[in-house]
Amino acid sequence: MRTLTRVIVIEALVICLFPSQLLGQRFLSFPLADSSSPVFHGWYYDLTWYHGAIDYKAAVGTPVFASADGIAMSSSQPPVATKDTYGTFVLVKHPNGFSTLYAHLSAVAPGIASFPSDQRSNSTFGSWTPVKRGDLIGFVGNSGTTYDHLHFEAAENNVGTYTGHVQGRVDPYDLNGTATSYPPAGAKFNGCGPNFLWLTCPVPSSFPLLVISTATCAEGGSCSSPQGTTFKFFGVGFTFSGVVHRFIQDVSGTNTELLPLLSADRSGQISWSFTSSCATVAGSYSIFAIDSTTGKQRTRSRR
Amino acid sequence: MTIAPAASAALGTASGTIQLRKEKRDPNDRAEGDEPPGKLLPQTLNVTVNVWQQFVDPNLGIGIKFPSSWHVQTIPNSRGSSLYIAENTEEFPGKGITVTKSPDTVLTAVGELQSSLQLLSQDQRTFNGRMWTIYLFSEASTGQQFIAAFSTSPGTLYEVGGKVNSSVGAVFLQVLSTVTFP
Repeated sequence: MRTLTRVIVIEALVICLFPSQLLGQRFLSFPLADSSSPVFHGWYYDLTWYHGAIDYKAAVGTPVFASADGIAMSSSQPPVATKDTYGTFVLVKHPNGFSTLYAHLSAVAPGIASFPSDQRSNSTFGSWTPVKRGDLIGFVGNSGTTYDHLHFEAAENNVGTYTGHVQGRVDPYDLNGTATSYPPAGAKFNGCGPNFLWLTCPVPSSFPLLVISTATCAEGGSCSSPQGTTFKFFGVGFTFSGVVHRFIQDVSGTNTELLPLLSADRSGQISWSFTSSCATVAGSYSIFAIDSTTGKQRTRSRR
Repeated sequence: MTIAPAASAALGTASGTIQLRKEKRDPNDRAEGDEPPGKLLPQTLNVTVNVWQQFVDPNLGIGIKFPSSWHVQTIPNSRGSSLYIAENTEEFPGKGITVTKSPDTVLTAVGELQSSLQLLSQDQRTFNGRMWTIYLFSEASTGQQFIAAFSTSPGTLYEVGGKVNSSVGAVFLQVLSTVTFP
């Protein structure tokens, strides 16, 4: 088993607080496989012009995944000369009173319930299609717009219909800013707002990555490199005796908390490791740890 | 001619026709060939009156009027708060008018906009005694045009903006002309 040595100093701070009353609203996974997809427009086109959604740059045909469990339907908004409609979209009604909408699609995944445009605000939920987090629901396109991207919206929507969605839009990052405010590459990104809806606040692209390449497993259940690699980390600047949460973000953008919880020593350091296995999907993983006392993240990785 | 809807007038659009009737007057003033008194003049004038609703926001310190078929909502902005005024039927977001108050200067705000947008033109208008500088921008990668109007008070910048190629474009200046600072 080979140990990969890497030393990455992280200067950026991410403020991701975990007030218990908000945890129930943190339920979204990234809708694209590449969680580093750049944000083209944020909640505002610029602070002078409201946008009400997040636009991710992605090529036509890129798969789009359900951000959480729910029931889904597809429809479209009739075209207009100015080409600023949703075009073809999928709406997912989640059981927690929120909904998500994925617009400008080039195609909808087979099996998703489809309604004609004039029935886009239907409430016949029994005929919608149950979907699970990460299920394929459609493909990026440019319907209803002039350029290729995924227009992603979240909404507080107790009604659950399309009309309820468009009346309840909220910024899933709770940043309410322009593209430069958003991860992964936004120059002004410094963590999410307190009411973000993602499972965990996305981390800047400068955070440590575990790059695990195609499987090359040895006999007998043990893996040779690259899968089976043990990645070791240490963190500095954490609160002495405070609780530290550790997360790994997989190739689909899903964050998984690693247990057990850690507690920093008197010097404010933690040390830990993550070992991939034969079953670990190849790709790039982000890794980060959060001081629950301060909400700040400081990580340094090492052998 | 001035048409003044009553304060109790229903919001909406009223259409009608104005036709003038010649009134009686001193017979000594009547010249040969004049229409006889009391006769309707044949020319008519079609008139449409839009009775708009008014919204006053104490946080922003402004009043603004907009069509009866639009609604206003407060939306969060990383610089404070904004008003967003759009048609009641809006589905795809962003076709309305955004009103923002910030501590920036016009120079700073326009400079930031120019980092990602191309400045196409600039103009100045005065409404209700307030000078507005109006900019037209274009986003190169999408062709989308945006219009923004800026007016300053000491330490405060007011911004009113919208997409040009949307339903807003036609009424942007009309809405801007109703902004007051009570």
